[in-house]
Amino acid sequence: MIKLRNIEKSFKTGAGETFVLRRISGDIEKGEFVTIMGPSGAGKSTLLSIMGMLDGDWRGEYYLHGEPVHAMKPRARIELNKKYIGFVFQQYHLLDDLTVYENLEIPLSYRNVKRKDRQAIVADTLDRFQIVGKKDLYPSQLSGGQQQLVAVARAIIAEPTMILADEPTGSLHSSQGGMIMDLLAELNREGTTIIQVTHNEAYAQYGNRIIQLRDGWIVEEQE
Amino acid sequence: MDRIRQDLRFAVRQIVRRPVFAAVASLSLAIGVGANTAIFSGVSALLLRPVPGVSEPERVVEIGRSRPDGSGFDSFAYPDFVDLRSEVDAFSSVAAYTLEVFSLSRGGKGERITGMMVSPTYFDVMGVRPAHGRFLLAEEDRPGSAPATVVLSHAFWSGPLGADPTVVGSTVRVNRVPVEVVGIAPADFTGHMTGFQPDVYLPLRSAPTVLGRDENVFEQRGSSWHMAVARLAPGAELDDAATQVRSVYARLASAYPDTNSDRSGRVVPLGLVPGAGRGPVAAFLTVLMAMVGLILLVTCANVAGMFVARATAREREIGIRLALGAGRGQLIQQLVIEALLIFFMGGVLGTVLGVQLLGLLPVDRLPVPIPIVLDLSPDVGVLFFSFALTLVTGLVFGPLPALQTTRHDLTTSLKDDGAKRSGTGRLRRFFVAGQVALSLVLLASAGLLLRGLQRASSVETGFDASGAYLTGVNLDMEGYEGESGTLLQRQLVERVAAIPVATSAALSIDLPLDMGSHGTSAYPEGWSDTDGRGGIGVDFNHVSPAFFETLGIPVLQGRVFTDDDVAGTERVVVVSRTMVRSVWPEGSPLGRRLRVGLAGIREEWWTVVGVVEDVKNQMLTDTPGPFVYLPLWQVYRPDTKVVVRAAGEMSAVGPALRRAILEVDPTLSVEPVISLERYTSVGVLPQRLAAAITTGLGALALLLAGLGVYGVVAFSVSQRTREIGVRMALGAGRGRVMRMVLRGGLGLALPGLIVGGVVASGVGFVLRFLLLGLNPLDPVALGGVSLLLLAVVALASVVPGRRAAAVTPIEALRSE
Ligand SMILES: Nc1ncnc2c1ncn2[C@@H]1O[C@H](COP(=O)(O)OP(=O)(O)OP(=O)(O)O)[C@@H](O)[C@H]1O
Ligand SMILES: [Mg+2]
Repeated sequence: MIKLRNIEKSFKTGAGETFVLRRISGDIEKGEFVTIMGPSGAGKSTLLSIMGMLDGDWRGEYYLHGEPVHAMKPRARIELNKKYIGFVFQQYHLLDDLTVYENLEIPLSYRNVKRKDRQAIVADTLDRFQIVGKKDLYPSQLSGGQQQLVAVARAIIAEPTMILADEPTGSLHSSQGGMIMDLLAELNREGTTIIQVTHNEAYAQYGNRIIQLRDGWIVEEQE
Repeated sequence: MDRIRQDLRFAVRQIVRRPVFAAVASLSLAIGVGANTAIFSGVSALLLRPVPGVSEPERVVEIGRSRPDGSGFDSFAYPDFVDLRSEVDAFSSVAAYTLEVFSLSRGGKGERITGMMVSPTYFDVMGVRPAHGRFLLAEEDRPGSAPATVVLSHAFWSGPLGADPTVVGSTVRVNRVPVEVVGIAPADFTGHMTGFQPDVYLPLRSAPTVLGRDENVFEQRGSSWHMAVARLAPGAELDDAATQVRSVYARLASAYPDTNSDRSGRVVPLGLVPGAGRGPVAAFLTVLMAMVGLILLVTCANVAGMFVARATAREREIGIRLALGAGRGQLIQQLVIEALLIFFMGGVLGTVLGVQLLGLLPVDRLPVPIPIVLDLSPDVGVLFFSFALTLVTGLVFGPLPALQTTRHDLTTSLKDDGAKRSGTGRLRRFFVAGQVALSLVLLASAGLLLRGLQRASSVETGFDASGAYLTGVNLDMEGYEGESGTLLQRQLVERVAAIPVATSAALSIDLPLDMGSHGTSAYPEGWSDTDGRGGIGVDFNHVSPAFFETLGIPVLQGRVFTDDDVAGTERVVVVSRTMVRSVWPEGSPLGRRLRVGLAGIREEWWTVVGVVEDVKNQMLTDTPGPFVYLPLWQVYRPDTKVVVRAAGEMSAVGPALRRAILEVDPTLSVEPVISLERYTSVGVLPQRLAAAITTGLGALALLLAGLGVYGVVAFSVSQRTREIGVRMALGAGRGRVMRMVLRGGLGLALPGLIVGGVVASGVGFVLRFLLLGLNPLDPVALGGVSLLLLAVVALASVVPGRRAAAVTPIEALRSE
């Protein structure tokens, strides 16, 4: 499903170039549950946003379902993102001016889901995440953990074939964290490909494979 | 559709959650649109609206006499008109007309009314039918034996006459001549000119009986005195008519070279502003439209800048939306809808504002002789104009920021808060500086003009306008002539001077500073100028003896007129100081003789008996020229002003003056009484008009500049809330934060102040001819408006500054 060949990412700095990712190569098959780990600043978020097509400025080859992402124009990448990907940001990134309900509704309406259906799906999701009571609140009225829950709910709501989650449990109580992980595992069983970043050893075990990043290099892969 | 509704809902949400942004943006737009709506209402009312009540108004034209090069739009000589009428077959009917003021007597009382004298064909040209009775008949156009008839306007019939149906067939007296009311014009027809709504229509041929005109005016090609309108014949176009008119004039020029060599004709479509005035009115309105257009453009640019700035601040949101699957088109649609909504709010608000502004316009209080009726109420055209203006500006300026801000890459926009980057901030600062400069220039003009007007009261006019009141009596309308007229005038002055509070009273045919003058040539005995000509151009006035005392004009030498200077005694004149300086610089002018080139008294010699101070006769900016005063008791003139100097208020003197005149003859029709100060204020009308316009536009520009500065400062404060919070957490006091914001605001305005200041210091030199001698660099005016502008800029920065200073660190840090 995902095929990466020599992905490199660098930033121009005063003196020269600082590399954030070095010669990243690897394959992720459909239905896998992959965990990316590594110390802060290792490049995990960067790699995830490249795979999520949120970042277009990198070198190397990236095939998604056999299609060469590296050769695509930004518009085509956005289309791919829309078609396959649900993304959970490390900083949640909820839309401040929209209520919880509307934040959940947004991905559906961007995908031209009819109003009736949208209502049903959003209601289901609110239920599933036990946040029905919060649906009319704005993000600023939620705690950090609650915001994270909404962010996860928003990522899965359009039933993407692939979920990219950047520390989806970072701010959560362990019971809620466990609930999120159970949910991801369930989605995975139903066929959704999951790629997560986490610092939590226990949650890392939900995946079938762990990739260790350090200073932009893949240092280890364990099944 | 579904998504548009959703976008609309979010757009409304944005407005509700950021009311200040929406208010500043839509208020700015409202001011821009409002100013345009107001001016365009004027354009529509004066130039675009069809003349009401006229059938097929597009087939009606006005004809005017021009010079052969096509310039000018003047009155006709009647024989020329008759030739045009018979020879131009592109016209199906042609009518001559004049505008008049009449005296109408009913039940022993007289009143002033407005009216037209028209060819009977006038109503055919206009295509109107009588509401009652009939219009004028063809035989009423025959020379000499014109039966005395009159058609009343519907408003006059239904108002003062109480819609009495028996009025038709009854007899009224117009200028003392009994005339029969034959019909009533329809209610929707009020004449064919803006501002002039006649009460009555009389046949042109009754001019000799009603106005006392010489019957010869219908035969002389030398005297031009009436205007003309025509209806195009079926199938004929305006150009055909114009060509035919020119060719008739070309024939007349060779047939009557004495009178017609310099004449041709012009044909223009019928409009509410008469053909002669349309050019200047259109030019004036064009200048105004250009000015308010410029204001709107700057406003739109600034509002677009506000949108860009806000969209920059929203880059994170835009990035998230893109990450959630929004297409660029969808995003642009949303941003455009948000912008359009604000533009729309501004447009509606502006239209209301513009219409309200117009309501404040004192059209009916202008000091002009004929009552002006101007319908400035908004019509469909105006509403459409405002709507189109809003839509176009919204569609042009709305998408710009959207296109600009959806171009960025995703991760960068998700990462930083996008505040400091982007050249759009610089563009926006540029626009705000432009607004500041524009308002400084307009305010400086207004300040200089107002200061100039202030000086008006101290400009030496040569007379004293305060404490004097006046009205007018025209004995031509009242059936007096010659000796009986002089007798009545003497009784009038005597009676008016006897009003208890009055100190003196006088009659004269002209008054100072009223934009008008009477000119002729004087021929001093034994004198010639350096070119050997024996005549000198002078202004003149016919006055009763107490005129100089009543107007407070100082007597410099000799004496003024007395009640013994009457017909049959030695003919005497009083001259002005400048007259003496130009003609008799050496020796005493007293006892010198001159002739005056006036019809009827051309051959008489007049002896100078006195010299008086120079008086500004037309406008405050006049340089006085030679002036000759003739005694009214020696030469009868029927149309005079009655001036009284009195110790009292208008409310007391006005009615007393009227009563005194009516005591002499209760049937006289008397003009409304006004104070001499108000009457002569027409002499500074150009200054007042210019001051009013620049003040109005200057105030708008100032408000916009204030809003612009406020918008930028408030925005940067909101962007820096976090930074401010951190600074305060690190120990910055509120005063320091306040000063930081204030410095930002003033720094923003500074380039505009400098550029505006440079331009403004030149403006005075351009306006010099209106400044009544004020220094074009008048420090009070220029300094004053600069300070005003600075104060507004400071205020616009203080408001967001206070908000910034009130932030507590914890709030600020949480707002991320
Ligand atoms: N805009 C940027 N300019 C320069 N360097 C950047 C930029 N964005 C990220 N980096 C660098 O890239 C490196 C990787 O960042 P990334 O966010 O991928 O780390 P991470 O592994 O997700 O860390 P964390 O566990 O703390 O989230 C860091 O060293 C960071 O300094
Ligand atoms: Mg990270």
